[in-house]
Amino acid sequence: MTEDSVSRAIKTAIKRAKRRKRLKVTRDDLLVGLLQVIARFDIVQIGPLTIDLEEFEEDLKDHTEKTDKIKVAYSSKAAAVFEKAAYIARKDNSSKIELVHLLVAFAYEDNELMAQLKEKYGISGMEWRSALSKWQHVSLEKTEPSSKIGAGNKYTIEFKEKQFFSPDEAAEFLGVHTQTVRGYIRTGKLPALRLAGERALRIQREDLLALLEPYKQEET
Amino acid sequence: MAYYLVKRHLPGITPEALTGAGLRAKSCAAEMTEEGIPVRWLRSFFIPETEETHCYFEAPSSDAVKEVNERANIPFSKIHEVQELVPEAV
Repeated sequence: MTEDSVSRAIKTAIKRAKRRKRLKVTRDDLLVGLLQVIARFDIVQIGPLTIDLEEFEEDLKDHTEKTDKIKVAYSSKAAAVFEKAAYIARKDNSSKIELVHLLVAFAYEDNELMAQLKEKYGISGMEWRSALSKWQHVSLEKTEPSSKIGAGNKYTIEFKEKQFFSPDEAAEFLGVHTQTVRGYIRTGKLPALRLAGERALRIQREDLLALLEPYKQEET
Repeated sequence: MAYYLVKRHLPGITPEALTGAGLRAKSCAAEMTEEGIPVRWLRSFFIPETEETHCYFEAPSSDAVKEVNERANIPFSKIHEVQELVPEAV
């Protein structure tokens, strides 16, 4: 059986955690593992983004050392990334979590290494995500929210019938963070309505759907 | 090698959380196998009615099963050694 890229990335992440001699595999370890798997000569090319791993040498470089004795476990934050990736994979109609799903899961991380990358390269979560969608197919359209198992998919049906969304619901519908939705409203990208005399915002279904545009496959 | 059942009670778990946990279990089992402790995650069943998950592992000891679950950061309530019964063998 050949090893898939996800396995290689995860392995690299665990190795990195071991090398740091810490007991936890963190989000940073995971991100480094992912980037290293897709890197060529220390350069990561994702769509229009070119990330030079050399610049992050301290943090990003993997050195092969004998660190087999150290046992490392996933941190809760790293576990949350897997969950997010699984959510994205499902929206993408994929039964498996692919490398690109894990990378997309980092799009809205504004902590640690991802924050550094974003700052250094001036990229936003949306740009990161759209760059990845050009790197390998990942859908931005199918955004059915997930429900807990055994709840009879009540949530999904609710969303299907819904005409007006609160910012939280809109965020879940689009698969983005609430702050992102609020940002869209502030900048006028997303029209919103106010309940008369109240603070509460409502967004129309059509306006949410209008935010999504078909993704055109580019030649690689 | 023996078979083990890991019982978990995971109220309100989403399919995503289960998939994510599965990938972590898989990678941690591979990691431990590389370290010389051959652990294998065989399969799991989720019981919607009780919100319980039953996960089956093949491992040299229950300690190894405990360790792989701890490494994967998946909570569990109990580990039992189990005997396998398959239709082909009866």
